[in-house]
Amino acid sequence: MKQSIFLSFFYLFSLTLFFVSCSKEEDPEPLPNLSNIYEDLWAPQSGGRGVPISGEFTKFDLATGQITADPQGWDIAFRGTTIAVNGGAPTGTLDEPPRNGNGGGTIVSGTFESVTVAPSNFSQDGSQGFAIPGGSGNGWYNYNPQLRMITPIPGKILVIRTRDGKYAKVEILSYYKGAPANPNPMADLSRYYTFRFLYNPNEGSNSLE
Amino acid sequence: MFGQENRNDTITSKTQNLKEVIVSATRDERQFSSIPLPAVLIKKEEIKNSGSSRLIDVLVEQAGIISVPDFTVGGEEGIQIQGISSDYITVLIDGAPLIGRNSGNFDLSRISVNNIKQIEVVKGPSSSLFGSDALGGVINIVTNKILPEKLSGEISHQQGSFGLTDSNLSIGKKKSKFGYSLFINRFSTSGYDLSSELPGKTVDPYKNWTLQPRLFYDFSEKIKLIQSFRYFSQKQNIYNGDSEEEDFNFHTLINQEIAKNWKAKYEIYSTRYNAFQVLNLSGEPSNFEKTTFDQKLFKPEFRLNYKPSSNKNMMMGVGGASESLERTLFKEKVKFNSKYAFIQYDFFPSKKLNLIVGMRYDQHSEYNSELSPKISFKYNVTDHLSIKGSAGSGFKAPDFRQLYLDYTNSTVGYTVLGKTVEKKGISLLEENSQLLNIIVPINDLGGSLKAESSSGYNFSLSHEKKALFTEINLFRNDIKNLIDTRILARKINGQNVFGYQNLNSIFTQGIELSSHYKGFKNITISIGYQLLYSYDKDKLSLISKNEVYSRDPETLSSFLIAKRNYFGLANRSRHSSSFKIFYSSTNKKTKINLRLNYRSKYAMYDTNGNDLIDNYDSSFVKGFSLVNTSVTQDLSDKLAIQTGSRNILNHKDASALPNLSGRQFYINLNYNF
Repeated sequence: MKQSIFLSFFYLFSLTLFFVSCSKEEDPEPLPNLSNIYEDLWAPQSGGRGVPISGEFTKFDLATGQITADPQGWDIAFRGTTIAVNGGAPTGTLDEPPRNGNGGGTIVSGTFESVTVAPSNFSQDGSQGFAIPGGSGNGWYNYNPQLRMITPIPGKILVIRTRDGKYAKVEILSYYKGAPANPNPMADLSRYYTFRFLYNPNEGSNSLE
Repeated sequence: MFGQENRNDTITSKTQNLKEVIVSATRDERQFSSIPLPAVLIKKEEIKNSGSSRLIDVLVEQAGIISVPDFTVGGEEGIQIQGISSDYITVLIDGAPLIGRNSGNFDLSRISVNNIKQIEVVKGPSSSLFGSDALGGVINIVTNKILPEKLSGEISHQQGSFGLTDSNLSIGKKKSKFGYSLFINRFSTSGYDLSSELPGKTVDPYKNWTLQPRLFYDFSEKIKLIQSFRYFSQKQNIYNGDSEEEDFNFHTLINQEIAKNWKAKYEIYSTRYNAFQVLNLSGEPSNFEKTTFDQKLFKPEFRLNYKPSSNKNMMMGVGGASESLERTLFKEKVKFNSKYAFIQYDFFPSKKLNLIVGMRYDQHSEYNSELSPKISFKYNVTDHLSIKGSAGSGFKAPDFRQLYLDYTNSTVGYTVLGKTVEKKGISLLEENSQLLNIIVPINDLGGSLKAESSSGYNFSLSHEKKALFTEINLFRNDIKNLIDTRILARKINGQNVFGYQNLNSIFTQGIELSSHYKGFKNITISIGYQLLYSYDKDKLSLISKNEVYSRDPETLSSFLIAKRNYFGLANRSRHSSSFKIFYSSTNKKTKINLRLNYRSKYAMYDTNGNDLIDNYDSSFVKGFSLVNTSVTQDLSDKLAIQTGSRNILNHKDASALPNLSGRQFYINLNYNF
């Protein structure tokens, strides 16, 4: 008798295994409204493949939220995957913009919303490299060598001190033109930054809310 | 393989079950139904009825064994057992390991299984008997060693879609002291193209030959020799080039009865695998890229068996291996040497309890020594119900690539350095002012890599009464010290220099269920199912520390992910199952079967930059089924005709399943003499 109960359990268990299926997937958590998105900032570069990388950086002014050609009026600048800040010394790469402000940059882990205060420790560009480190996994992106795809690392928020000591946060959303949800590195054009940013114009305030 | 053996029925009776033996579980013949380890036995009869002729096709029809395409080379395939990939599974022919893992994966489609007795799959760590790489299990192809007195053999030819031709000849005889056998196989396919917009074919046309002569000689009643030789050669016309591979195996085995209850086995195995590839990328005749891969292994072994009674069996063994590899991406030829010893005791402390305890010690010239213990038991609760359990450890030595690679990508510009060359490589780059900054201090470089190691646990209940057999197995495999790349330095071109390091720990766990029913007169039904969970432990801990984010596919904004969003390791399906139905007419002249294999959805790689597979990645492959069928009709005692179809549902996916052609029909003629 004992054994038959055991056996029924055994077979019931086997049957359950067959019919239990995967659990329903959760919906993504709701996200707040987005503001201040800059789309498709083009950051071309030349060189590579053994030739030194060169080309002008695309400079961006966080206060106006626009690209600028003004050699003094910029906060961050883009070339390929490289991001420069307007503060510090030359890194040694060709064609880099002269730094004439006291800007800085750092990367904070979190969501765009959760980063509410600028930290106090900023890095600046210099001979040891960029304040926002380059290379896969070091800074803001991961590179998949099989797919040859650049993907911004989720949860990496760039906090920038502008050239005149104000604070801003930047989340890079895409590196491909049109910010496709599933970029195809073979077909989509790269070096097109789409990013979300928030700039605090108040002197002396480190709030990023 | 010869004569009457083919006339067996698929519906085996209980007495036949008792005759089924497996050698890979204990390295000695052991009744299959009595072994205390999770294992699968695939008999020649099943292989023949299925119309399969390549090892990969046979294996993937087993529940829980999944084929995984290798993305680096078109057409290569590996497998997964209990969620562990084929880098960690040893493939043996009569106990001797095959080599030639060009990119980690072992190409199982290169092995013809036309001339074998059975395929044995032992799941879970088996390093206690087989050493390195047997961390996830072993696949042993067992050939037939019993030959008829009168020369007999078999000729078969298969012709199918996609230019498939597969021809076989096997003959053999053994009279008094001397015997011989010969197997020849020629296989060719014209390949197939799943995406016409990409240049070249998905799988390019290839042909291969397998030649396997063997000699048997009995020096006396007590000393017997088996000398096996295998030669495999394949040529493939790939897009813009040619690819060739060759595989030699030379295996000498002497069995000796040295005294009453004492047996000795002397074994010498040498093998060489070489591959050669020429690519003409630019289209100019002068500009071609040549890659070579040449691996050799020499492995002598001595084993001693002591069987004081029918239920006690002690086995001891010592051996060594010397291995070398010369390949394009290495600066010079590299060599490994290793020595090992193992011991195993298989006994019955009581009538109902069987215990096997064993361990193996491996000493290696390039990395730390490994001790691999294993214990397993089987307890017969009643005549129909038994409990089995096993615990063991396994390891995988760092491979040549992880130790000696010195490679700089010419298009992107990143560099990968093996462990033994990383210090020198970084110093050289630094001297040439190629480095922007060093991330891992030079003094910390050049240490040694540890072997990847695993521990595996299996616990199962099996029940057999009348025609119904059911088994449930719970498994858990923990692998630590997985070798992965890390960034050593950043180069002035913005790219990284990578090195290898023991990094991650993963686990796979789940439930396997298998059942078959032989109660109908002409029909056998079998079902199998595997539930699998596989995760990276470090990723789990990062998630619980709230350090992992994902990206919303609509808004592209980051959000924190929870454990339930972590899907697990790439390429692993939560569910996989198989369903097979075999029909055999009462006169056994007609056999029909239908085999279905299903695997649920899985992801190929991370797409949203957080370095793990979460539910928001876009590389998920939907669950799918593969269905195969075949019909065999005996036309006479000697001649049989078979026709069938593989992938009858015509499932195709160019990017996720390049290894899968569309629906294939074939016809097969088989003549015994």
